[in-house]
Amino acid sequence: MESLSDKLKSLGVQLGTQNIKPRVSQTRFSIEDVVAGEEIGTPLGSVYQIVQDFDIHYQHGLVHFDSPLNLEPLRAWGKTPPEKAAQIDQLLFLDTETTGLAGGAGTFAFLVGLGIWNDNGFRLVQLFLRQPSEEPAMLATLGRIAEAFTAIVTFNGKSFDIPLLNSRHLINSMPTPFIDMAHLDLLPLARKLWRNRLPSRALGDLERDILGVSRSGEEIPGWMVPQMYVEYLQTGDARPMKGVLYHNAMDILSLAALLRYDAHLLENPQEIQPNEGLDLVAIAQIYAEMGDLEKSLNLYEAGLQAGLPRPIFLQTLHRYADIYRKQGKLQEAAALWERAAQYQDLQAAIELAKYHEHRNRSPRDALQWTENAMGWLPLLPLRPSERRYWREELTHRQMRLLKKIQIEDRRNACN
Amino acid sequence: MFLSSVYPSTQANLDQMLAHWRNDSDTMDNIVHWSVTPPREAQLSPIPLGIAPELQAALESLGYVGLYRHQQQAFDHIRAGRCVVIATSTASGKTLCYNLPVFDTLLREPNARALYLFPTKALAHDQRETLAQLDDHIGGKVSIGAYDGDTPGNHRGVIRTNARIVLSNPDMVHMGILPQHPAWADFFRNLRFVILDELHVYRGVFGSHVANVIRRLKRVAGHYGAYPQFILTSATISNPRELAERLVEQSCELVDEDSSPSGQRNFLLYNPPIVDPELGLRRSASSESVRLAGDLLAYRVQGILFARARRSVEMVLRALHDRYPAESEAIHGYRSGYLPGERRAIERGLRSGSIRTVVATSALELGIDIGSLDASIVVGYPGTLTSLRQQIGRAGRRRGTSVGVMVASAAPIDQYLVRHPEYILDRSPENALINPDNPLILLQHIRCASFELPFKAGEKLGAISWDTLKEFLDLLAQAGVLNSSANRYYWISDQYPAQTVSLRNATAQTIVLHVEDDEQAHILGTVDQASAPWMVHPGAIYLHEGQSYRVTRLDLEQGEASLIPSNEEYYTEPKSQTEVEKVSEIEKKIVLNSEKTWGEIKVSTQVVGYRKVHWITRETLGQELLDLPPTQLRTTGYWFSIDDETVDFLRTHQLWTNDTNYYGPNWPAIRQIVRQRDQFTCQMCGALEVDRTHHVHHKVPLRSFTSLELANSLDNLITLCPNCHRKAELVVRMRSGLSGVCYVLNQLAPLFVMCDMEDIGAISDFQSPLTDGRPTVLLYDRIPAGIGLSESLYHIHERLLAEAMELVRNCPCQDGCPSCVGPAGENGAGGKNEALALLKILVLGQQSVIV
Repeated sequence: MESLSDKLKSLGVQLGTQNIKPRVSQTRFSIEDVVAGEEIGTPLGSVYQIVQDFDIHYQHGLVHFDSPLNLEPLRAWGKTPPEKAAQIDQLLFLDTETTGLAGGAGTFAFLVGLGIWNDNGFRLVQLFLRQPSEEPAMLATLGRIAEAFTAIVTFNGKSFDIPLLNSRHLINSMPTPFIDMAHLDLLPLARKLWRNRLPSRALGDLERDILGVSRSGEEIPGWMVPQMYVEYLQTGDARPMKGVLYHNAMDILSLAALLRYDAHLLENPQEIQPNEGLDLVAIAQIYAEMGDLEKSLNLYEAGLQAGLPRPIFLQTLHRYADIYRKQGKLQEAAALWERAAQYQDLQAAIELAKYHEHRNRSPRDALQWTENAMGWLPLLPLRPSERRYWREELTHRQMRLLKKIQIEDRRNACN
Repeated sequence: MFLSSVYPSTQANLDQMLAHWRNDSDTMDNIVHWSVTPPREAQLSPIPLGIAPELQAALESLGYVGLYRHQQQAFDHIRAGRCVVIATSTASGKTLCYNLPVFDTLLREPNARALYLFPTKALAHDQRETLAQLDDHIGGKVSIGAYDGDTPGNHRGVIRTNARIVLSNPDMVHMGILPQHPAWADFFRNLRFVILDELHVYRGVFGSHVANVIRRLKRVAGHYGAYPQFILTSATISNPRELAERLVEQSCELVDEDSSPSGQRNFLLYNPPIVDPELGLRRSASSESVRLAGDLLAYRVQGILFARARRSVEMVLRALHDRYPAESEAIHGYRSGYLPGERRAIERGLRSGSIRTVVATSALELGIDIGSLDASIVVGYPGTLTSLRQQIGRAGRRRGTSVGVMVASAAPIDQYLVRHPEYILDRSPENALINPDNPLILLQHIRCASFELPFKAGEKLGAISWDTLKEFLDLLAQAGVLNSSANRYYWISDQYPAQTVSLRNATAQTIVLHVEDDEQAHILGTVDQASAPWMVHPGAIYLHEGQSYRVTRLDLEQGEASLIPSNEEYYTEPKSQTEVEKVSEIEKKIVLNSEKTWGEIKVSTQVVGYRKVHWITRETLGQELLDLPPTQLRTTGYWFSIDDETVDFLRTHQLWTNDTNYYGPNWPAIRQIVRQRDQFTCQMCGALEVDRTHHVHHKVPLRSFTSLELANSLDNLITLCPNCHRKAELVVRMRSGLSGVCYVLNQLAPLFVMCDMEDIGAISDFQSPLTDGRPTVLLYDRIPAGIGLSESLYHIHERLLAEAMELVRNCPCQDGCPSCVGPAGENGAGGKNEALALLKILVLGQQSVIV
């Protein structure tokens, strides 16, 4: 009887048997040999758990784990219900390592890293699948641990880790523990804070640029991780998993440190980054969106004083002025527009024209600003469509103001 | 839509036109068949009791007083929880057969969901409009969404969570829904119905893939605790229930008695007259159709013409516009690439009467709603009887007369059908076949299924047992794609398997067809790598959705071919050299004067050249050589050989009288030269001339040459003694008879097993290795591992031969033509007498050929 394999081969199928490392000659290195942990038993099987404790005085890069912490501004930014994220020991930090990024039902998390704060410090728990069949046990253990927490903290978990874990629960016909938990994802915050200042907002890069952390030689880059797990399954050699576990552990520690750093930064930006104008105005924008206008104003001012690159500088003046406008303080707003106008900012000129026309009832000043702007037009680098737009807008305004002045003059003359 | 499309009736005009045809000898003489089906009243049943009140109210407000009996039967079956296949004809209200029970359930069960699958996006989108109308009438309670490649990204999440009826297609289910099933958890949990429209499209390779997608669908639904009911609709094929049951692997009830009303239907078969009796050439089907269409216009009858290729559509349109310039506005083309807006405009024009003649490719037969017209003219057999019946079926109102005409082309199938109109009117003899267990196809879907949910020991996939499944899974584990632990198989590769599977190709190795035309480069589609040398060799004319393209470049290594749109006068036929090897015999049987077998074979094909065939007259315009590597194909085939006794019989009875061929005025002189060159010695047995002169034999038969000079060139001539000459002649005759039989069987086979001509390969061999050197004809599936075609042909072997014999016997040509055994003049083909004699022996016995 011809084997299925031979038959398929003669039908032209290449099954792509890549170089599978021979299992036979090597001794197997199990994960138990490679890193200390314990087997956790559940009714659904067992899973391997590795625990590391970091004491309260631990320092990760520039971040001290024992620094005083106020979660309130961070919680408010994340719109997390106050009762769910008042204390840090309510938060479960989470990061997964998976078998790929393709998504869909075929990807699973072979390693779930968890971080927990308690009185003694920070505890890192890693749940590792020695075989894919241990997944139900891992999910059960994760569920049991998660019960004690009301909120999760992740980096990009809203798009990746949590949907993936939810899918895995569905595939294993188990209810997901995350359904009532709040979720604080630090990636969107990182984008808001450092979009303009840093070249990348990936956790590894923030770790280096913001937290001052550097990883040891044990580190395995993220893109290599899925392949290494697959090879471990095929060869039974768990030694490379050490690097993967280290990678995941560092991710969790940096996530925890980043949370503390973000909390401090939002609470006291001028103390944490007095010289980073870009950070200050980014936080100013965050506070403006949260509705705390006073704080926003102070930070915009501080940012301006710290110094900003030109385009951000102008943008900041406008945003700053907008807040004053919202508060009805138009004179203060005008002062800012005038500053912007020193750099031939067309929008500022228009704002000033409007201000003088409607608030100061001085169409002549309005006309002056309009004509200033028209004078700048040829000097500014604009796209043809932009140039057309401004020319139309300014011309239109000019015509209208001239007419207004004419009427006013006539009225004055009649009196 | 719910009321039948009301087009202006042109009843009296049609009657006059038909009377004209009866009296016009130019037309009537060519009508080989005219049958009239009397009008039929609708058979109504009352609207079922106990349906949701909103639905009852909606039906009333739409004007329904009852249902057609077949709609009520379908409703009852579905209510009882059974799977149903509805196989009534076009425009018989099939859609309501499933919409009614589905809406009823969705109204009673607020969480219930349904999945509607269509073969194309266009059909799905048209249905969405229909469904939206129905939903309006019940107060907007059932949300409907289309989920396919055209759905914008920001709509997808909403449709997944909210849509109660999701409209999609098998490709999307395979690629975008099943591999992402956790995002569809709620949908699957509540899935009650799966509707499969146009079932007959799911045949061959495509059908085999779709059957596996359904296996995966059922598996995923089962994971969420759902076991949906399947409802299928089909055009009339001979085996709708069988196909449905193979596709969904559940028993299905069949509803096929059409109770919708229809008026009097006239069905005509028109065979264009012969213009060259010796060559057997007829006037073209297109030009005759244009003439008939002119009558439609003259008598102001609304009608549609179906042409096979976009080329023909354009030609017919141009001819009509040229001949009837005053009617230009009323004549319109229709093809598949039109946007919804353009389609709506044509539909409106037909409804208002401003458009009176539509010329279309077969794309139209797939359901798009133009309602019914008075007349339908089908230009040449469209490839399957099912398509033909659907196209003819476009003519036919609920009341009043209609007429459907098929105009035959020169192809053998067409000429066969004009003699057998009963095939078109009665049940079609085509069986739609699929083979979901084809190992190549199955492997691909087991991969995809493994990605979706890990397999556990003891599980099945549809009807595939665990033992078989385990073999595949172990192979995949060996290949590093799955990890086997604790009796489960987990997907551990980081690839997305659905991406590499095309539901229309047998293997994952495909050649991508790139088109460069004036606008921009785009991709036409793909073909299997194994088929590439004969389908898209350099210079090949390739037909796609009715448009022809010429291949300018084929790169097998890179897996690409370049094509440009073509307007050539010809199509191409590849010439290949094949070698066949037997792998196994599955079944064999002795039959009259021969033995038939089917089994597994390996075919090694090398395309060595191609000929250009004029696509109207079917003459050979030229031949070209090619240099391509051979391809291996392992598949199933069916063959039959002439037994030794019959070969002896042929030899001793000198069956074929010596031809008095005309060898030219120089023949005596040439003979002399050759005999002298050969020293008056028989070149086969060595005998010297004694009493009588030896014969001079053409190695390559005279009829294969276009000129006497070439035929009589000295290296083609050889001296043979009379005995050896007889033997050599026998071989030549047998060869040409065999290849003639092979040709006609190849042409007729698709009539019996529903497939395209390209799906079947045919080889005749005078000394075949399949049968220890006996003369043999082989027909095989052109798809790796086979799809069931040749097995099916094996079982109808006797009938196939009988039909072939009849076709050849009745063909008016002299010595072979494209309409029977192949054009005379081909190397080894032609030989009508020889082919007929062989067929007679195989069908009727040796006595039938004794003079």
